[in-house]
Amino acid sequence: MLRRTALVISMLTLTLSSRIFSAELINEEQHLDFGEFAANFSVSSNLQISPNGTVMTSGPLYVLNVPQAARIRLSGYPANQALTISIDDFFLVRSGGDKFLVSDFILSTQATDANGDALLLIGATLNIDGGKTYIDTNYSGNMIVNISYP
Amino acid sequence: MKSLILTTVTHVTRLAALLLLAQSSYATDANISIPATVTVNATITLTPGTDMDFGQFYMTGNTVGDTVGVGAINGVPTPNDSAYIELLPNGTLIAVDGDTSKASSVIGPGVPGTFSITGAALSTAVKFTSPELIDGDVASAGTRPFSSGGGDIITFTDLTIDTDGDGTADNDLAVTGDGAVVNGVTDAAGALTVSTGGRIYSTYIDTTDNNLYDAGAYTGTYTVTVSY
Repeated sequence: MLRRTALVISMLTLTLSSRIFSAELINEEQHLDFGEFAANFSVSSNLQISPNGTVMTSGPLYVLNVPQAARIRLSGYPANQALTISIDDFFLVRSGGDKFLVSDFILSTQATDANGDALLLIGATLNIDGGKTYIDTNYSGNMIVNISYP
Repeated sequence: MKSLILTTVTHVTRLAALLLLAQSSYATDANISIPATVTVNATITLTPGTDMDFGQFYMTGNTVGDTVGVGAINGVPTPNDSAYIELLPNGTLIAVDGDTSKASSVIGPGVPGTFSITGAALSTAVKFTSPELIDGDVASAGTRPFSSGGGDIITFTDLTIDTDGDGTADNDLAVTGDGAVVNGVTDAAGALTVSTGGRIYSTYIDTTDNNLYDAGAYTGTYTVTVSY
């Protein structure tokens, strides 16, 4: 009996050790880049980049440089762990000017693999409001990606 | 010995509880802030090329004013009082007399105008509009004065644009209504060069004006807007 109890304690200690020393890391490998485009801003349009890089447009919007989906690498998570990932809509802005709403995020995965890793690709949609003025320049913002698991 | 075993089991239970708590607090939300960017570049650069050249010609002013919507000045092929010289986008000059005016080309062929688009979206449809663009209906196209710097002016109107290099202005010109649109497509580098033609008339529209034209070079401008 003593030996069996000692074995249980040993296993629990190992588990505790694993939890404490396994660092859950989230690394950005590629930021969300909607590329460069021209458009007739008198009417609404949008630009969608999917996680696998497919670009779709609606309305009079023309891609000059190809967008890229965001790429995030997760490591040190529990193996085969279902994740809860949420991203709030946000804006790409320039100082003192109009802004683009970014919404409708698409995720490539919501679970880790057998090693506790995951490569998370994030697509999104850039929305152009018709009738607004968008001058030629760069617009930027930040996408907050929330990741949790039970 | 029995008592010792029980104590150890209790200890293990507490330890397990601690571990569960540790797991719960460790698996809290994590977040990362990822930069996001986009660049807008909707500017199309227009660069004038060759000036439109109607060559040399004789022209006499008409003695009766034209009526808006009647005659060749609005794209209707039957001339009335105004005489005109037409420059096709391939350089051909056509002289047409009016009922009370005369026009004849002396030295030809003419030279079509050209201008280039750069910096546009690649292999993309663009549209050309102009107040002077021929409408194809009974409404009047806008006019621009061609002046020699003295004396009466010649009227330029009925602008035509050839966007595909075939020498004809048949690129989806609207056949009815104002606001005619000519369509074109940029090349793989986002560029396109077009040719232009038009007509110069011996009189203003809807006026009575027996023009007297001084000998000399007449110059003017026309305007074109290119958009997506």
